[in-house]
Amino acid sequence: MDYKGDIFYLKQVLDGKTNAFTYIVDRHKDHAFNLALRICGNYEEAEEITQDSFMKAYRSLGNFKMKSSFSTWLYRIVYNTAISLVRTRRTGVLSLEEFPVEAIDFIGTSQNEEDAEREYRNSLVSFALQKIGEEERALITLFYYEDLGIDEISDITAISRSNVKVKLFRARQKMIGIIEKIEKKNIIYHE
Amino acid sequence: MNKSGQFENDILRNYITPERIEKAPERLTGKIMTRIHVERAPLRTIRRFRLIFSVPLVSIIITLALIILAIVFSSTSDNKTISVIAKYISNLSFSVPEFKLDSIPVFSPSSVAIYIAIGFFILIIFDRALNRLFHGQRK
Repeated sequence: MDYKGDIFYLKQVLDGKTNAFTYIVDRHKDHAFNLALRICGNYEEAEEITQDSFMKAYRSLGNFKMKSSFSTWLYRIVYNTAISLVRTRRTGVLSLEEFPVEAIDFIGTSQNEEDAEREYRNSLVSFALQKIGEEERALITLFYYEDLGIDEISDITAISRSNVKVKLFRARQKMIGIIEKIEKKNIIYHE
Repeated sequence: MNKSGQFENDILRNYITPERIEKAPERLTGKIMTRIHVERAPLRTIRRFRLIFSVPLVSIIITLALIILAIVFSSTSDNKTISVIAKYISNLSFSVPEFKLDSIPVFSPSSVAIYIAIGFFILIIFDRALNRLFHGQRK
């Protein structure tokens, strides 16, 4: 991301030009929304989290040190907001039976086999993500979707570097386990 | 995990396509900016109100305080300190230098014009300084 661009617009906001914040929102909203959605698993809540996170960022912009990356700072706000929201509403864990078996029939509805395969894999991953803990969901999202390094993830989540590695490894193992189980189940369904 | 922070033979990478991130709703930017403007509006109004009314308010308070003091502590008051102050104020005219209008030289229109021009120039600078000060505060 264009780090200098962010700083330029953030300084304008601090100088009283509120509308410059539009640029910041436009630039970061998709990544912020994606992280919120992967953690909470719900569109309406993810939108709410994203809005609240940007509001929090705007209000405490004076505390932001211009030397660090704005996206990392924003991710930290989104992460904390999403985690605390999910922890307050704790719902039961989905069972494997709840995976929509129709998802494997994408082949029939999609334009080509490749698209269908991709859609199927995405729904598998989304489902598996909802089966693991919120902290693990955040780690998987930041590592695989946002393509961030261990140091940056450690900065965002305030988890030590070594702990990030361990937790990420475990989350990954869990995800693979869930995906494999569903795939086995789907093979039986198809047969 | 290897030195570059990647898992070896990462099967999960086959399932996750990083470019496929969920897009935020189109109207999200508008909603956030509306919330920001709504939040800023009352603050701005209060600040402007304070700015406009601070000078007259202070003047009114001082005037009222002086009137109350004048009523409570009249010059005929028995209080020693007050009577000393009252006496000093009544004799204040002695400390003010006397002006003799005859001593003021009569200026020709051309020389007065120079003074007026200089006065205007000073006023413009003063006005610009005040404008910048108040404009800066409104932001």
